[in-house]
Amino acid sequence: MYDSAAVKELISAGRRLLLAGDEHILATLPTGNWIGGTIPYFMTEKGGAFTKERIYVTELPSDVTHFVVKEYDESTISKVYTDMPENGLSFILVPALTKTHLAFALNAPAFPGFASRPLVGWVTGIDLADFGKVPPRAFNGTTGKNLAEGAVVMHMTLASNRSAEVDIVNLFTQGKGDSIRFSEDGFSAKQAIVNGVTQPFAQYLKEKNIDTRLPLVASFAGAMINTSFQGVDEATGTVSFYAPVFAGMEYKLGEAERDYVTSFAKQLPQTQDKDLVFSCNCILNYLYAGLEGKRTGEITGPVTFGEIAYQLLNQTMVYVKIT
Amino acid sequence: MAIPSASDPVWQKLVCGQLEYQFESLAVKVFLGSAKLQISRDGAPANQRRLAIELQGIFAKNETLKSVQNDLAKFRK
Repeated sequence: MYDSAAVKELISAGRRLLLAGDEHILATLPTGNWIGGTIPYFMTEKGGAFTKERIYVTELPSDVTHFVVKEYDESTISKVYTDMPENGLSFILVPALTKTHLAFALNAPAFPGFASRPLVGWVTGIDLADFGKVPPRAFNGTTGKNLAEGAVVMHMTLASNRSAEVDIVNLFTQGKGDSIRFSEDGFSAKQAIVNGVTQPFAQYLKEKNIDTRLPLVASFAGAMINTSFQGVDEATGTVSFYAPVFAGMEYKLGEAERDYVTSFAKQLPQTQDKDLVFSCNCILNYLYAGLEGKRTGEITGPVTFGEIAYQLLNQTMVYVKIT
Repeated sequence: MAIPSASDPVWQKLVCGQLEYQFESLAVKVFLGSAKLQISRDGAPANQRRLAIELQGIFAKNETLKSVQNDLAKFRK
């Protein structure tokens, strides 16, 4: 974590940076070789922390030989995978609950080149106390522009003898309970198909006394992928999510060991510190597991409103290593 | 280990779920999960072929990764 003066020095020195911090502090930074996203929650060396006065800095390693920053909107985000360089890594920042965020979340698996090259990043956010009042933003530090709608992506080329790999740590697995499916893709649902029977989903959650801090979990060829609950509106019977559910996918209520910190430590990537370039973790893990003041091993990074490892994820830690 | 060409039937078997393995690579897993969902919605041969070619492309573009090499070894004889 750095104060703004230190970050300004890094930028002035031409360092290539991925930044995370509150809007008011990112907005003071000069143009340079950087992109940034708004968020005031972090996992630091001292544990989880909330601050609007410091910036989390990731400096690109020397393995990155070249980069280009592009901006996308909801109509162009479909090109993000095909814009990625031959041997590279791309880092995406997209503000939460924007058209671009939703377009990416719903449609990424159908974009040309999906999963063909490593795409990692996060959904930018804000102080939860300001939710609905202040929009999250993504900053293109090369131009000085920031976006409340759209995505900023840094496409990086790696040295020919280096490769990037994206992976996740997800403490949730599919529980042994009901099979849950949906008839439509979307960020909300009124009906769910539970064990083959269509029923009002909000009512089901209430009757079963479901803890909606646990996500729905789907298995993508063995990868556990979460969809977190955002809210249950009993008046309208609408259940909303922080990522879309997909029709035809089987979901189960997630389960996890109670001690997040210990469980997390067991599953941390077995990788050299020098190889780990970037990591982020979900704000829901931060809140539900009470991570303020607690560490997640040696892993540090922004605590985000959604994580991206090829596609949008929830309640997951994402990391990228270059070897 | 050479990656089978895009026309090798193994790719179509993988995306259709006729062959299943516990893969390591996150890219392979998320792609396969999505591909199987897409095929469940549209099982037309052209869709299966398209997704098979894309899966082969993922292996080809990421062949330097250890996880992808390990995954390839699972079905490459």
